[in-house]
Amino acid sequence: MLSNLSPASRGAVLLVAGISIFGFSDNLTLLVSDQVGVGLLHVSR
Amino acid sequence: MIMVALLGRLWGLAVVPRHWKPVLARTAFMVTSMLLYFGVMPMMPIAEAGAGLFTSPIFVLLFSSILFKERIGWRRILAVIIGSAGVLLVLRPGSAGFTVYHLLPVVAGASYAMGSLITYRHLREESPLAILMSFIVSIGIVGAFSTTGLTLFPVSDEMRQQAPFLFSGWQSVEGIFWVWIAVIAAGASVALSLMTRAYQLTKTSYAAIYEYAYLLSVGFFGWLFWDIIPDMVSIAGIALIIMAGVVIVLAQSRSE
Repeated sequence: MLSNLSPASRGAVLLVAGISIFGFSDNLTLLVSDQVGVGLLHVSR
Repeated sequence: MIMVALLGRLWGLAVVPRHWKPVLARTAFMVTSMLLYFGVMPMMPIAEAGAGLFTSPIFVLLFSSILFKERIGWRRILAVIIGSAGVLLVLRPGSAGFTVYHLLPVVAGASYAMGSLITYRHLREESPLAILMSFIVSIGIVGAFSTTGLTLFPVSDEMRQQAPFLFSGWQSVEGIFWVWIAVIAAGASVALSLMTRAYQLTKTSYAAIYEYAYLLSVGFFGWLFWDIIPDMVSIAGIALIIMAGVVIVLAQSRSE
C-alpha cells in the first residue's frame, strides 16, 4: 500500500508511525520508574 | 546498537563517526536532554513534559539569533512569542503544583536545540547512523556513571522523595522489569528504524512538522494506560507550542 505513495508521503507516514510508537513505548517507562532511576533505565535499554 | 550496526551494513552507511569533536558535543547535549526529559516523566503528564521538550525549535531560533547573529524575520519572532505563551500556560510558574522540576523539560528542549544546531552546522556530512550510534552508546555510559555516582554519593532524602526516578542509584530489580525493558527497547528500535527511513525519503525541515504527532500519541497512550489527561489550560499551551513549531518549520521551508 505504501508503495503507491510518493516518497515524501511515504516518509510522512513512516515518520508519524515511528514517532507514535515512541509515544507508546515512552509511556511504558512509568511501569519501571518505581523500580529504577533514569540512568539505570537507559543502561538497561 | 545491534540494530544500528545491521542498518549500517544494509544501507552501506558508517556507524563510526568521522567528525569526532562535533559528534561528541552534539551527543553531550542530546544525552543531557533525554536524561532530563525521561527523569521528570513520572512527575507530570507526559504530554506536558513532551511539550517542554518540543520547545526546542523555539530555542534553535533564539540561539541562532544570539550566538550566530542570524536574522529570524517576523514570522519566526511571532512563533517565539506564541510558543513562549504556550510554555507559560503549560508550566504556570507560581501556581500551587509548580516545582523547579517542571522547568527541566524546557531545559531539555534547550539542550536538544543546541544538539540540533551542532548537527545542522557541523554534521551535515556525517553518517546519520554514526550520530545515532554515538548517542546510544553514550547515553548507556552516562546512565551507568550517573547511577554509580548517585549510589556512592546519594542526594538528600528530601530530594530523593521529590524526584525518585531522577536521583536513584543502583538497585536490584524484579524479573518483570526485564520484560518491560524488552518491550520498551523493541518499541524504540522499531520507531528509530521507521524514522531513519522516513528522513531518507522526506525533506528534513518539512518532516519536522510530523514529529509533533509525538505529543498526540504520548497524550493518547497516557490517557489509555494511566488515565492521565492534561487540564484544558495545559492542552491550550500544548496547542500553542505545536502552532509555534509548525510556523517555524513552514517559515524555514519558505526561506529554503
